[in-house]
Amino acid sequence: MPSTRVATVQSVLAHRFPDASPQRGWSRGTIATGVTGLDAILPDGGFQRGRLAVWSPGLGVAALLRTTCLRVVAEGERSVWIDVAHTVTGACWQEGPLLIKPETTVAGLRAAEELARSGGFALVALDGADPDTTAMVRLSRAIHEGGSALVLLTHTTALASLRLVSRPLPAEYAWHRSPLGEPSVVTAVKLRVEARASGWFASTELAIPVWYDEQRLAPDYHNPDRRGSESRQQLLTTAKI
Amino acid sequence: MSFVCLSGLAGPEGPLNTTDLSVALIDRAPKILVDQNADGAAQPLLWADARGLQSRSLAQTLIGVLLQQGCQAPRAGVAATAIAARVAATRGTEPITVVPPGSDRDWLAPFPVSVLDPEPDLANLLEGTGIESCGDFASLDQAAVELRFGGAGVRCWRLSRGDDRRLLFGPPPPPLPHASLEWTDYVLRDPERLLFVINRLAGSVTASLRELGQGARTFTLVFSLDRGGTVEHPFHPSRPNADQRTWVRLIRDELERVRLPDAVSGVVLRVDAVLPSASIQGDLLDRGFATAQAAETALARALDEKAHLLSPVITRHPLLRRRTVWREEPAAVVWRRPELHGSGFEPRLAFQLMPEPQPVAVVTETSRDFSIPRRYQDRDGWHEILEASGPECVSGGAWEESFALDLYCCVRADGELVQLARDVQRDTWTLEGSWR
Repeated sequence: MPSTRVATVQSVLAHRFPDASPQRGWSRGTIATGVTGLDAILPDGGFQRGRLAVWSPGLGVAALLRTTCLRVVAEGERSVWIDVAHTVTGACWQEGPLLIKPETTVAGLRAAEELARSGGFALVALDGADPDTTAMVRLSRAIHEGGSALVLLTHTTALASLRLVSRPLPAEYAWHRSPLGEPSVVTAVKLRVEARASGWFASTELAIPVWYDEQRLAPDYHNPDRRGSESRQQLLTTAKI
Repeated sequence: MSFVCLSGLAGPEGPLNTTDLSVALIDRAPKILVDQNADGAAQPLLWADARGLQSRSLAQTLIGVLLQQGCQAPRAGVAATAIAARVAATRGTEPITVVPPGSDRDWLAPFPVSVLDPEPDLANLLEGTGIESCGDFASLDQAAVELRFGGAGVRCWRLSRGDDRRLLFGPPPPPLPHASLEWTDYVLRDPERLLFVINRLAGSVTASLRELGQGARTFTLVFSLDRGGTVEHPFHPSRPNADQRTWVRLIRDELERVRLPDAVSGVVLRVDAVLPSASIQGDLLDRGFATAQAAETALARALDEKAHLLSPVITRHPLLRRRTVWREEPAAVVWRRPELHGSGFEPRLAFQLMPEPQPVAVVTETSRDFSIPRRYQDRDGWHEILEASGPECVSGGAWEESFALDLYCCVRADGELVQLARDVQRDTWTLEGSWR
């Protein structure tokens, strides 16, 4: 069969069965996460370009995916994080990937579709949206056209060629002990990450350090201690009486 | 009439500041020019661009403004050439002197050649040859003038003939593209049919913009209603563009939201502000350079769909929820090439806030005068807490509503790390967020 026909058949199959994953070849490359243990369990050693991956929200998911976004940017490509739920804080965000906060879920899905279709972003991460099947079809087609890797942090798994689940293992957390030997602060968590694809299952255990924001203890010069003082509403009520 | 020249810019206590005067005048004329070193003029001059305007009424308006600003005897000269306007302003006897169009040379003829501000050497030569008036000078032929007086003489001779080639103001900006369609036999109520018409108009306007090498910063869609009146809808694309597809998508979204009060009998699509289409110098070694244009276009479309491209600015606010100020970025940020180094690539669990603090019921036990959470109930039910570290005591609010929170980092039995906050003033508990 001539190569042009093979390509045509491949494109038709990819269009009709966007969640099907070929056994060998026929891949547009992968995007490594940069976490050795995680790459080892992913088919082809990373997120496949032009494929839809779904990662169930949970402990450590955003941390691992943020790292992947940073590595993509460090290697000269672009990545974008679409924060539909508006949970990203400035303190945990590192410069490099683009951060989009849509006003609505629909706007987030549209943004993901546009960016994935453009081909200008190697990795698109969508956090906080649970797309229905129609939206998943649209997203699948968009990434097929654009060749981006799209990772959804959602429980919806329809049409996904790769499904990831992470489960915390609290018994194996690392603790910073207090002077009395009691566990006080978790310094690292341990996760079990499972990857499933067509004809593929692998799992691994990862340890991820925990980063704590600096909490400023009152009182300081600009922020006097308000502990014990009445709230504004209480003060107003008292004033009326 | 093209030029309005204003003189007599002095108040009772001396010359007024021409910059202040020009600021006062700029609201009334499209362009104002300050001529501080007006040759031969005792005082500086102001010029107004009157192209395409009623020159006399513009001059009257400007004279009125100058009187309000404290000028004692402002005068205006109006003419098609700058030299005639200047002579009219400086030598005219009326407050407003208008030189009839096409008669600049004849009007200048009786004035002495000194009004042309010749160089001192040239002035001596002219005096020596007996040329006293502009009319005498203008009657000579160019070859004779060039032979006797040189290049400076020719320039002065041209002025005497009302031939002033100075470009005081740049070329007038071309009119901004617009397109309209009106129909009288029927009216339209169906948004889809309206969109069909608008699509054609947008194609015409965007093509005109592309020919000019510009992109629309804002454009307006005006509906003419059947019973009279108009409804205007301004649009502000996220970046200047002349992309028909983007325009139609923005308009379609707007049409889905708005409800017009009456049937439509006409549509106007006009551009209100433009910026040149920028081309950005890239880096050939940048792997993302080849796709930057496509990425920017896609990002601009995404931003037009109620999304915001943000970068954080970290403040020192004690509350994490108010610590980040988000700064909006343009779509062109995709051209940046951030330099990242290997240190920040290790994954780390970071705290992420819930969109709003979620009230929870908490079972506590007292330890060292603090209420330590042991169980809490949210929308998903009760959660056992293995360990609660803290509290971190945060308080403040000197000028706004005061706050005082005890923050606990809690490890749930299922392994999740969450932050619970106790409002000390109200004695209420909220779930602030989790580490993800």
